Amino acid sequence: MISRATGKFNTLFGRISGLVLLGLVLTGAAVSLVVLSMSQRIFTDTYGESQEKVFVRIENEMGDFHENLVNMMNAIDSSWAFRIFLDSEEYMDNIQRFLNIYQMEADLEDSKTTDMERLNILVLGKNGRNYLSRTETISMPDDLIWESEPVKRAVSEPELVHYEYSHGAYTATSKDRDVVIISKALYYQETGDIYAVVLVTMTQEDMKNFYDYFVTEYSSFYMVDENGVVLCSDVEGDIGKKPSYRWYEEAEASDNARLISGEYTVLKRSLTYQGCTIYGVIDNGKALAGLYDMSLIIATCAVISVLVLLAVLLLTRHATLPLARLSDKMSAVRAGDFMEYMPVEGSNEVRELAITYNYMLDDLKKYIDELLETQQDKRAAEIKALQMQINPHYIYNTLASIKWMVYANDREKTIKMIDAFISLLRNTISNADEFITIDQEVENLKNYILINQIRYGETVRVEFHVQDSCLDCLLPKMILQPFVENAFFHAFPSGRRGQIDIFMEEIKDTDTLRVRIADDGIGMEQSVADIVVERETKKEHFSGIGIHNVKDRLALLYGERAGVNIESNTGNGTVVTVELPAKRADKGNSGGISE
Amino acid sequence: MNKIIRKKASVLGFIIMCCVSFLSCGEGGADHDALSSASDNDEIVIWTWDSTFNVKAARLAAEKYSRLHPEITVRVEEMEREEILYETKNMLSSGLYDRLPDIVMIEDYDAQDVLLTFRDEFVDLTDKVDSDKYVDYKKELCTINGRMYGIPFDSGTAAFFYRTDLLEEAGYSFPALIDMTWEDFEKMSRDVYLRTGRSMITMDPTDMSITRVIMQSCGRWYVKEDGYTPDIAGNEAISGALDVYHDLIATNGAKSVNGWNDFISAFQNGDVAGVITGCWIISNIKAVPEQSGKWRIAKIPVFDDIEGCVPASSVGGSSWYVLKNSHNSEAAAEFAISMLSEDDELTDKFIEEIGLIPAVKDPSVYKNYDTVDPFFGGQKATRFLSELAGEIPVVNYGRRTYEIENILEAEFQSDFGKSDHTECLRRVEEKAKAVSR
Repeated sequence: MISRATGKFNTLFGRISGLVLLGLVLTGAAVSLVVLSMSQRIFTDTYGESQEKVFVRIENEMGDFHENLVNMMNAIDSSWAFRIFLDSEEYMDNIQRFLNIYQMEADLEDSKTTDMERLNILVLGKNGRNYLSRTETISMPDDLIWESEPVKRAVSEPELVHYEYSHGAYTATSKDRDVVIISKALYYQETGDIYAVVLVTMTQEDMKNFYDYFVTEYSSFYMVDENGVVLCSDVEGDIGKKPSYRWYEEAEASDNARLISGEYTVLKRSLTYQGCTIYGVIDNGKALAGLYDMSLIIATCAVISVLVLLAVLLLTRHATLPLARLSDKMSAVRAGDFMEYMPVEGSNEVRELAITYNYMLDDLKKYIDELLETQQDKRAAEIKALQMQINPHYIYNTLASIKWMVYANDREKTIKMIDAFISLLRNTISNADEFITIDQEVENLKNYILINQIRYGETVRVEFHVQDSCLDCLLPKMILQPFVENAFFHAFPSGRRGQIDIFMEEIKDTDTLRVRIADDGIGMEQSVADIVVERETKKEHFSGIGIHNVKDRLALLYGERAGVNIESNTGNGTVVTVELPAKRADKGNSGGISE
Repeated sequence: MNKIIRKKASVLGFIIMCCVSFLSCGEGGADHDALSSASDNDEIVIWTWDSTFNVKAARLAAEKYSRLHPEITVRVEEMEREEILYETKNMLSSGLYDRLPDIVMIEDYDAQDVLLTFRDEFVDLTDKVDSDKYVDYKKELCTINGRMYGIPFDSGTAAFFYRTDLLEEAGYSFPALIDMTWEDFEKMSRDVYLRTGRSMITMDPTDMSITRVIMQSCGRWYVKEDGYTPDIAGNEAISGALDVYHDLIATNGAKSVNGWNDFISAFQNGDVAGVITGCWIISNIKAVPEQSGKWRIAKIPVFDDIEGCVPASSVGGSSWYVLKNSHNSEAAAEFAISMLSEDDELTDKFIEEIGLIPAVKDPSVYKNYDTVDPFFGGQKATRFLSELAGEIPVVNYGRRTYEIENILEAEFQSDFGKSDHTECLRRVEEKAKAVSR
């Protein structure tokens, strides 16, 4: 499995697409990361900066408002109408009072700017007279108002304007609300005695007008007094409490007007005159999420990558497919199959390659075929020549034997011998047929054995055991003679007596003809026997065919289907087994059967 | 080879599927967020003023409505009268509809101005409300070109509310208070001050409401019937009113006060013996239960030298208006019509609990109409004031009541002490012409 997988990867296609995939993913990831982090930083910076401008506007507006408030309080302090109203114990007649009240209202109206139009201003006189700017009633008794925290603070530090959080103020409409009370004591310059307190009540809604345009779903505003209590904020739960956020602690300790604390950008301004600090908190993560749809970006990248990858894969595949096919075909050629042509298709180079390859394949095939044929012809011719060629020594020796027999005047024996010799020569030299029947082969062998027995004595007996049914089977001429010859001359040295049994049978199951030549001679080592089959011996042979080229001959005629096997043991004789396909002569055709 | 491709294709398919599902996941999440943040605004918001009167009435109505329709909540926000007007106008002129309340109360003097300026911003109630139910002067002031845009609430019928114990101390009792002229009233005020050391009523140089009481009782106003031509220089009613102011202030018959808080606390504390104003003040009078039985109600004085002057007038009444472009405008209109216009039972409750004098032609339909009010010494306060409401002359307030009054207040200040107001009123008229246009 592993090797198959690496094999797959090892293809051109695998490499190119793997490289492209890797490149794409890396490039995509790198570019996305860089762009995102860059834009994130730029966004955080620019957004923080732009919000800071807005924030500075809040600071300025609050500063302006504070200035206006101070002006208004000074106007009350310096208005003779208010002075008369607030400090004389028993004052003027009703007409003057009527005029004075109008004057107070006029003085106050004059000092009010447009953003203070509906301001809840309560002027609390030490003499028990109060002035309320609005069409509503005071919902708290005087003594309780004097006891309240904002008033006490104003009294304790009369020269300052105080901003204080309170739940509920002094009038009907501010009774149950979270409010900011801005207080300032009015006092006589010469003695420092306080004669009144000005209390401006602002609801959270009033305060919101200052910072409303800063607040979004990801940015909040906090106004914190010097004790760390939130005076006003769009986060309602934090109003009137001390904020317990990490960004707050960091920002409080820092002198920077803008700092980044974790996910947050915190803007900070100290309102010196108000004694307060304002904080703007921007949740960068949320702001960014609102601006960049991260999942959309990633998904878009992924989809584009996949599409590009798909296109690249298809293209690469299209380009490399003919090459892969070519490599497949080539391995087939290596295995000897020359029929694997390349289809001519694809790009020009590949087309050219295919044509050349096919052309080359054709040539190669032609040459190899020719070569094979030539070699086979050559070998066949060689063998043919060999089998036609009767060893002259054999002829001399045989003729010499015949001469001796004539001398011995053994006429009958001589005739027998000459007959056998003639028959043998005829069958060997004259008969041009490659194949002969078993019958004929047996006759040849018998003749040969007869000659040998006459020549060397009858110490070795030969017996044939031929199955009747296979008498008409064909076998190559002179295929058995070398083995018999071998047995004669090597199995029985120095006049040793013995017997050679020749078995011929047809094995129906495998359609094979099996010939066994068994002797009870001296035998030999199996290793020697193996060599015997391969090597040419220099002994005198009947014909040019020896044991060594029987094998070649059989291979030429039958290929794999024929075989020679020699089994031998020293002292136990030798068994030669020749197996070849069983073939019979066609009727009327005694010629050989070619493959 | 083919096999490999199929395998690769399926891997790609898988990747694409992952991407797509990832994408849709993200979008789904965003949708969900958007949904959850948008929808918790099923609330009718009402802006009104005066916790003892209008606010209380609105809360009673809200309570009843929520009982009948538990799915709807009604929130009543108490604000200052001028603040409501100011904020509403601001939001309407800048189109800030998302912060708009659904129902606002507008004082009658401001009604025409607001309706004319922002005509398309209010729900037309003409076909939904039985306009003939209401008294004419009230119906007129919330109507533009025959279309009615408001539901009249309190009649604002003006009356003289007084402490009978203090008046008796000065030697005045009930019969003397019938068919008074302003001259009689001035004399009585002087006597009360001399004998008890208390003034009769309060007067605020920055809010000359008695001028308006007198003008309407004479069928006159700062402007003529067309609603914009100033009618000041030759206006006997105004000149008479200035005389009354001058005389009462000079003789301590009226106490100078500054602002609403002083005005209310003066009669609640017993610094003054009475108050001349709209009947909506009853809730504030009754806020001091110890004074129960000591208060009485009389008609306002008249000028016997001005033709058509009747002892009936209106001051500071108000009506409900439903804003067309608010969050829950439709639901609010339904609430307003069913609770504040059609529900006589609830109106009965208003009469009982806050002393409402409904601005209707036939108040006898209400059970509490004929109730004897022990706070007012057994007077049938509702019946008395309701009957009076029917006599109130119809005037066109126009669009600039308070602006003209501010001019009058300023000019009156510089003119104070002179007995002839001709020059003063001429100057007021000059300036009034400038603001009426």
